[in-house]
Amino acid sequence: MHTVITNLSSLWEVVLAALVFGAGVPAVFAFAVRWWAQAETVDAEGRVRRNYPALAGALICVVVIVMVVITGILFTAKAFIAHQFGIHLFGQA
Amino acid sequence: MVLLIVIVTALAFDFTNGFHDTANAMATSIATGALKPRVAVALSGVLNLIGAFLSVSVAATVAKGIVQLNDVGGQDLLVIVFAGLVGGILWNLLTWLLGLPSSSSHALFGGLIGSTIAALGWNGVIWASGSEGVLIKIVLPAILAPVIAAMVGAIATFLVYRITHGVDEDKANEGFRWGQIGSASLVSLAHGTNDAQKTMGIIFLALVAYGTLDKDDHMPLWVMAACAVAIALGTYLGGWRIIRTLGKGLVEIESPQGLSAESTSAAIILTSAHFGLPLSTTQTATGAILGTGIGKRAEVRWRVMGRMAVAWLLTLPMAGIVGAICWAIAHLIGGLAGVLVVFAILIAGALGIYLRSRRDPVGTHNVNEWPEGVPPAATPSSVEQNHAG
Repeated sequence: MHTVITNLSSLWEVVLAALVFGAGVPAVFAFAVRWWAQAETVDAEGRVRRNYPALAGALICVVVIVMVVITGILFTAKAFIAHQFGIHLFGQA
Repeated sequence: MVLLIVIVTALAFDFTNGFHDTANAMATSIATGALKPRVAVALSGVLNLIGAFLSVSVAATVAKGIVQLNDVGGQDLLVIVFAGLVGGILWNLLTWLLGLPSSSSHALFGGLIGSTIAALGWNGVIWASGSEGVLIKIVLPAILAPVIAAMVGAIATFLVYRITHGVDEDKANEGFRWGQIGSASLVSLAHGTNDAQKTMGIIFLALVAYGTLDKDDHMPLWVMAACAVAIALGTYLGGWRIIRTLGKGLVEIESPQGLSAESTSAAIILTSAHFGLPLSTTQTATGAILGTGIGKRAEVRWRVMGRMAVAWLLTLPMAGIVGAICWAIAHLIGGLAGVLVVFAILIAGALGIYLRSRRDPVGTHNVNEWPEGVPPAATPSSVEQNHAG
């Protein structure tokens, strides 16, 4: 029984991580799409208006996502990289 | 010779694992048209190949804490593992024929549990003891995976639609298609990392039993490479039947939902292993896709979901029964001859299922057409659906 409870506490960590990454990343991406769609609009007279703050916001969102993803992959592969190439990421032995 | 057959069978299982699970990563991308079917499976195959090399943490613990194989060694162990693999492969092929996304890991564990029970009795299996055993390592994650994934998938979908509300639809879809490609790629990578390793673990077990390797040795590179190639080839073949069920059968999927589902799957698969509660890739992906339907308040075909749930429940016992029967056959005949007979049964069974599948082929040409009203996957009327829900 004790270990079932231990497992349930790690369950909360799993749920939390899933929410942060699984719902957080798509949400950030949605903001990127939103601002990207607003970055360039054509008005009624056919003039192209550029919205630079929106474009910058979209780019920042994308950069954040790419960094999260790369960090995640390196974190997963840390043991393999340490073993094959002798590079110790995230400070583990 | 027996060792060789076991390794070949293990790689064959890895191959079925590959095409059985292509859908987890690529079903939504194919359904929304973000990727052409051929491109999707090729991309997924390559990423599975890379993913298989990324980590060996899962391989180290495969079957540990589920079956007690410390007391058997040599040929006996090889036969148990072999019979278990045959059980896993045949169940994977059967569920593929029915287009049902069942868990390949459960098929593998089910087969192993079955052959272990047949060989060593009930005590050969660790049911529940401390942090080990079937209950903690298989049953609990199996219940949790679809629920957590559906919840997170629903929240992600809700947020995504909320945030992009009022945005020009064409533009949004274009953006989300790119997002889908990225997130689906991540799932493929995570799948290679998780699932190819289970086969590596099995081959490692066999090599230790044979005496080629010591328990504490590192995973040989050729084993990693062979498993990586097997799962990548399987993925490239594409389990079109299952892709169709997940992409078109469960809910009608749009790009933003696809993105949400894949991100949820990738996040859960990659992080849950880190927290020591590894959740099934298939059940996570299915749950996430279901969740996107709920999050968008769209129609969910609960009857299709019900069929999947039944398949999930049956996977462990059915693969187990096949595994047990195979062990018994191999044991009765004995020695190399017994193993060869079971191997022949495996080939005959696989061939039979393949021939049956040709009668009603599903491929790149019709992967996005859900057969409305065709039994047994008949779509219930909306009234029935309310009852089923």
